[in-house]
Amino acid sequence: MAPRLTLAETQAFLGDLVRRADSLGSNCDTDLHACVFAVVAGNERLTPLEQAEIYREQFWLRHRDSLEEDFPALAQFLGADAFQSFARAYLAAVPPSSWTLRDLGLALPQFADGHDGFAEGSATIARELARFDLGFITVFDAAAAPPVDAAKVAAIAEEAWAGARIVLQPGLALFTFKHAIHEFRSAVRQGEDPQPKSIDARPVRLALYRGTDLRVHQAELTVAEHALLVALREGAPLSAACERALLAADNENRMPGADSLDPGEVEAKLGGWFAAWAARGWVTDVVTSP
Amino acid sequence: MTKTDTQRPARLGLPDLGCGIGFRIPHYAHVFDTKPAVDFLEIISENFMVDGGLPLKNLDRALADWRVVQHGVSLGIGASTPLDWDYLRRLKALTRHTGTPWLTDHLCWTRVPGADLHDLMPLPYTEEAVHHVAERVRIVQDFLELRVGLENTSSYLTYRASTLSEWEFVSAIATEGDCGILLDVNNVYVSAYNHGFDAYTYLEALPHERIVQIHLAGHTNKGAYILDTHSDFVVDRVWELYRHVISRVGDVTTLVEWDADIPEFDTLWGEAKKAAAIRDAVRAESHGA
Repeated sequence: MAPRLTLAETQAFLGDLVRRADSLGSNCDTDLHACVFAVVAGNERLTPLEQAEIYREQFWLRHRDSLEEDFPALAQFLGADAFQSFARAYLAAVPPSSWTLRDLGLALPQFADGHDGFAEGSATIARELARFDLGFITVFDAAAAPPVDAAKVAAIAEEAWAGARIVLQPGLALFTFKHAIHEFRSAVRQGEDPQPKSIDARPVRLALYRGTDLRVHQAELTVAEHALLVALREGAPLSAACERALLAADNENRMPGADSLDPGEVEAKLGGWFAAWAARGWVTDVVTSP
Repeated sequence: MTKTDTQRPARLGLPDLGCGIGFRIPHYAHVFDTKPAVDFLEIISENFMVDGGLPLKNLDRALADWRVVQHGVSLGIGASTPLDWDYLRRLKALTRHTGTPWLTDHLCWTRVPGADLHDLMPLPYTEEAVHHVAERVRIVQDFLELRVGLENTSSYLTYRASTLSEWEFVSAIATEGDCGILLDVNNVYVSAYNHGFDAYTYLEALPHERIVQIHLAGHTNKGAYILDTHSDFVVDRVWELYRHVISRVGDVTTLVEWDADIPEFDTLWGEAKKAAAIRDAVRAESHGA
């Protein structure tokens, strides 16, 4: 007679059992079957294996469905079968560890970066979609700081702006992609059935932010505006951030086939950008040196 | 001197809030626009344990017009892993925000070292598990400074190690842990079907004064077993069990859950009104007797 398991041992055994990839009925491991029969009682209608299988099946269904809900564009892009395989691989490699399903996909983009099971030619887009889908999750309920005080901004002396640090909303997410995946995702969310081949191989810079309606919105940014925001996010003073934006615009101009960008774009547009950022709630503070 | 259970007030002295419904996203717009006279709303705690955004805004709108009761799914009171203090701190902050009169979660385990199963895993009905859960629920109640009600879950497996019936197990934990019971009548029906026991025996055996809230829901009959899906109307046999409970326990806060294939708001509210009508009928019968 097998020794009786403690509560902790029982839970550890079942925890492993329900996370097994293959159905228990199809498993031919007689030792495993014996262990299940030693722990689970079964009844007249269901064997111990069948009882345990209910939980195993629900584990995979629940988490796969949750990932599909959180990564709608990636799921559409890969197709049902490929997404299911990918989700299973992810869940096997990165077991759910948080008390909230909201966190289930936090490590999915990182996993996708190292995943070699994508169809040929699709890995880059899949990885970009994984990052972008996750952005919607994290921005949706991110902590928010109050928007910048307009009176405080108005009181900043002109000469203080060069060294000012513009503090951005923590929930503002910035992305650089090689494909216009945001258009594909928008189509998915609108209930359309976009095909992977419709994704434009056009480099894009994107922002995700929570609007005043508290819903997540996306905005396409120019190279310079994106570079400026990234620099500000990293804590650069405004003058240094503008230099980085100019450099980025200049580098973009050197790219074959790039649209012509005016190197003076940053200075000319800075005021307008700042006003737009403030209106969207992206700016939470402007810190000037004493 | 400690009061015996039979001397305890009904519902452990907690109020009867009437008949409410689960506060679910598809109904938000309708609820906010029409402000239905539903007695209270029940939220899933974890859906609002976030840092900001729309969930908290919607919660505040609900709090402005309704009593809100918190129900959770991730406490994992029966798990052998240590209590998750980060989770509990967030939970406590939310209870302070909502002013929930009590907190409920499930009598189950949800996690093992290194993994959270996000499922309501059944416990073996043993003395070891009774002591384990009772100690943890006392700690949680002390920390939250709130009465906790543990919900009997639907289950699909039983353990060879069990030495107690489910009702003995639930009763022992409630008594030893000095906690409330969230009696899910549908779950009693589901587990009675799945494991072949008599639902009325179960209901009779519970310490009635510890029942602080009742849940009702629909389920899906798979033939060999019933799955607790919260996806349909409450079935007649569950209504009969509910009437029986109310006749024995008196008016207890009652909540109708519907979490999948969610219908129009008025359909769900109709189920809550049906529960209220049963309470009224039982009360009238007892007064006429």
